[in-house]
Amino acid sequence: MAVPLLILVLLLPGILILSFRLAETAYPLTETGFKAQVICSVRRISHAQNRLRNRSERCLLLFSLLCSLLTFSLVPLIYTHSSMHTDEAATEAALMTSRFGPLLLLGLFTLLQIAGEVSLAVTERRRIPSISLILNGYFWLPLLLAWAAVIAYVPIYSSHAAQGGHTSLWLSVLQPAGTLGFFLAWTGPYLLINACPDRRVSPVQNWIRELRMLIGLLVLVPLIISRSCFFPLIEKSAGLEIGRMTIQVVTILVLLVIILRLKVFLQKRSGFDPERLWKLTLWLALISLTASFVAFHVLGMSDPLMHVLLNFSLLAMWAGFLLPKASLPSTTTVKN
Amino acid sequence: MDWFFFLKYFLFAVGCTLAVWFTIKIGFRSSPDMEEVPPEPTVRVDKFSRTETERQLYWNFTAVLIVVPALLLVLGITMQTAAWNHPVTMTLAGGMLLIWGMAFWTGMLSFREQASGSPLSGFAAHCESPATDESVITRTPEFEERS
Repeated sequence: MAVPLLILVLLLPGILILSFRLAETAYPLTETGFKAQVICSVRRISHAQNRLRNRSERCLLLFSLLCSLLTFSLVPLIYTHSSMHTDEAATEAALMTSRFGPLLLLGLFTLLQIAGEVSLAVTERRRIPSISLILNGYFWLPLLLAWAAVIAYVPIYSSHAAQGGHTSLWLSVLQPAGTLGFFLAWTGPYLLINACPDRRVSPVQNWIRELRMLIGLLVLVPLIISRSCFFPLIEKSAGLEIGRMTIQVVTILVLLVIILRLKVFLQKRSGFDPERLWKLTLWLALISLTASFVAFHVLGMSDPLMHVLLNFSLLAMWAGFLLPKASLPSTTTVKN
Repeated sequence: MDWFFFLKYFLFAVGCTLAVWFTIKIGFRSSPDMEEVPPEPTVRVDKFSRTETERQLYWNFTAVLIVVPALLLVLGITMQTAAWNHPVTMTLAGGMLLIWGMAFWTGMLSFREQASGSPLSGFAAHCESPATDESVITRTPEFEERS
């Protein structure tokens, strides 16, 4: 019980420092060293905090911070759930048993993400033109649909759950469309606001958004590398667990680089339409939801490789038919 | 996860939030050289045309309707291996069709027409914004006349 809290307390300063450093990139660099930049960023945030006169704005920012930190403190549960076996199911009266644990946890994280992003967006709705998209309810539809698509693949211990074929393939291989949709919908607000060309964000909001993005990565990575419902219930092996942890750390770094590159890419594009990105994500989420439904309920597939085949063909269709309409890769109009 | 376990983690999160917020606010109080105030951001209120507002309202309502069958599909995960002509599966298929139908019907899935795939797509995106501005400008007198 106390060990996860200790790990969290040790991990939190690292994430905070990284978020301060990332928040500083939004402003013209004045310092050169890493430490000087972090100090400068914290001073800037503190200065902006002391200038917040509006009380409701302060409360909303605190609530947004609370949502992200609550997600952060519940993240170890996902890691323990992903390494739990059927025979370790809790027997005492519990709020969340291990039967539907991953499903409920992911739903809780999704709701916390929506609440945090919306309360953050409310505080700067007068400064950024494209933020009214985030404040609308339909913007969050892809996230919920992608959640419904992905959790069909997490292990649940029901008599009707999928049994049969065994594989140790990750969720991102079995359901790539849903995982990609979940990732895009989760990081959508971050990308949209940072890609807005004439944005004037306050340092506090900017820093909270960076922190939320980092904590979101901690949620997304165990989902991407998690075992699916086709994972064989074998004995734990220490080597396998260590390997998985290493892969998760590497994946966090890879995703971080991808997001930062994507942000710079979208910033440099001149005619960027946020609604187009949202529609693409909605298409992807709907396709992945249909794929999960058809695979499990209509075809009743118990062969993991068939799932891989179905999902990758759907992903190829999405990329072939829909991405050309989006005109996303037109890098000829780069504005310097 | 029992209830006190959750409560403990929740209190941990609340404590962390307050600690982080007030440490930054008080511990790093700005030094005099940071005192030059950045210009106050101009208050910009988004003015949408009336059709745009109506469309957003329409889509919000539809989104609530779509979430209901989506949650039904989540419930249906426990029946993954039921036969395809089981009544539950039929209901879920109906929900799936409803989701697609509503998304298509309201135009959430339709992209605005654009010169797709051509090298001029970036140029078209450039031309798009003045065109929409003009349409808004030309539309407003009509609304005023009607009213």
